Amino acid sequence: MNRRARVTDRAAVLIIRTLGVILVALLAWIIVFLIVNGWQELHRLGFYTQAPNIGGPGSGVGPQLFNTFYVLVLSMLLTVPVALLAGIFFAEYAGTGALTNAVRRATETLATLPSIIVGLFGFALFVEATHSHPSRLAAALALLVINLPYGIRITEDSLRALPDNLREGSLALGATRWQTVTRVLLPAALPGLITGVILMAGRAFGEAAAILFTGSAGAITAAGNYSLSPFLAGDTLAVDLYEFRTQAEPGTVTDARQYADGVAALLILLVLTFNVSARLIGRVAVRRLQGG
Amino acid sequence: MGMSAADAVEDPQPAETASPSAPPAAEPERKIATRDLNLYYGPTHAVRDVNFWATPGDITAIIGPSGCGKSTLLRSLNRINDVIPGFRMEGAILLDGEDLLAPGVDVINLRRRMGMLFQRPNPFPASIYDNVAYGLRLAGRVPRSVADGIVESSLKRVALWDEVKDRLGGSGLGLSGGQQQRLCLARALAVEPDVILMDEPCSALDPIATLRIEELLHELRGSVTMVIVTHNLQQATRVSDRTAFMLVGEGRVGELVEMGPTVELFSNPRDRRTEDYITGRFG
Repeated sequence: MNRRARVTDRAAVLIIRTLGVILVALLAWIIVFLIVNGWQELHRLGFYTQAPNIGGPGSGVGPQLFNTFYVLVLSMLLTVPVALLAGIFFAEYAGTGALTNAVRRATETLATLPSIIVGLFGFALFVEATHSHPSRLAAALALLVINLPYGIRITEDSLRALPDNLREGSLALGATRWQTVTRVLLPAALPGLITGVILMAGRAFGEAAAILFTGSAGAITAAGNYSLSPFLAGDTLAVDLYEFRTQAEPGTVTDARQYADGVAALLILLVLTFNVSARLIGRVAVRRLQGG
Repeated sequence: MGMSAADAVEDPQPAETASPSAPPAAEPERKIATRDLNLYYGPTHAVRDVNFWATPGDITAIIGPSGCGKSTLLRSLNRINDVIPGFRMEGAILLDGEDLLAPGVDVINLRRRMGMLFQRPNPFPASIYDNVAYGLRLAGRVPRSVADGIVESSLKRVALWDEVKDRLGGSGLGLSGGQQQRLCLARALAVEPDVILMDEPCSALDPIATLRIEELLHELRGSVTMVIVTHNLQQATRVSDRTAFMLVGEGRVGELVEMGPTVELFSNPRDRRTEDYITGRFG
């Protein structure tokens, strides 16, 4: 019996380890594959600075790169405060009333919406109903619809995971509930909140379907410009990637494939860089706030 | 001073003021007192008709078996139990004669006058310095020099200063359990409370850390009124001036059986149930 338990234990550890190694290897393979394929574009400075010039020499993704960050920052500025406040409300203030349960269920349903639906919905609401045209603002709002349920959920879960005696310790010193939230609970929940921001940013980087309808200029050659106006359209890298692999007709655009490979490689490098730097900044912030 | 509180528990002529030097006043002074206090969790009646009080500057222990409502009673005194959904109080709680259950009472302000220590040390995930300064800063901005002074004196009062003065910026969570509990005591003392409530403050500590806390309580005696809930009868006899004994009574509702000077309660209990409990013949 004892021997059998030991064998089972070893087998389980072996299987878990193997799966872990396979997973890491797969991820590494994808990253290496993308970078190797995109290298021809990646190592060319003009790729980052020039505007798209399909078929011609010296084409780049400068405007799309700018737009990607523009939409990312705009959507985060809109989403993070709302997600924080709603998450705080659910975790610290809302009771178990029928209304709060309904709102909670609604946000959870929102999380399961396919992003193409959010795109169409965003088009109907932010573009058609306002008699305007696709814009970075509409794209950021569509991303808000996609990210808000996650943001709320992560905020609520991070706060709920904190021990009650932190709350009581603060209240017992004469803190108000809001002081307790802002001075004790949010700093204590910071690591979880940072993970939430990273996940939401990942969606903003990678989302194509929702932005296609709400923020895209709609043509490969009209990828937008460096204007700071939120009311102008602009392709992000992910939208760009989609357009290149679907709209560029074979033969007519000779370097479309190579161009798309470059965009894919750039996108994954951006996501990786963002994740690592967000974690590093988060670690410094945690040390600042929590002592170390 | 809430002198009119009905006193169903102690003798009409309390023995503790019967010494020849005592002033003619018949009853001991009461820093904090409850009058016919009933506590409920939703439909559950947790504590019935409790008339408890603590004398100023003394240490009052609350003892009794698990589930007798002693923690609930303690946690109702600074109204920290208000945060539990369904918790309800009837009766009166008097702090310096002022009813804390009256409508319009500023709960925030009263909690500033009553510090609290919990079963498990609960320093905030912040630096040692920020932990101690937390209560000060709640009321508004505090000049650094003022905060520095109060942090130092508070940490000295709990004999932690020498151990942490070189790492005030380090995390409070990096300290040992006993140090953490002393940090929490310093945090409470920093806002100069009149009363400190302690809910089994040593139950998560080793014997040496426990003794250090008890020494601190002795040193604080006289300047702060303390109420300590403890499972540990030896601890009650070691630290407290007066002791209250609680028990689960009729209908599984917690009651205050008797209260008096600790020496007297342990050597000469008036109630049979108290005697059974302190001699270990409980049941």
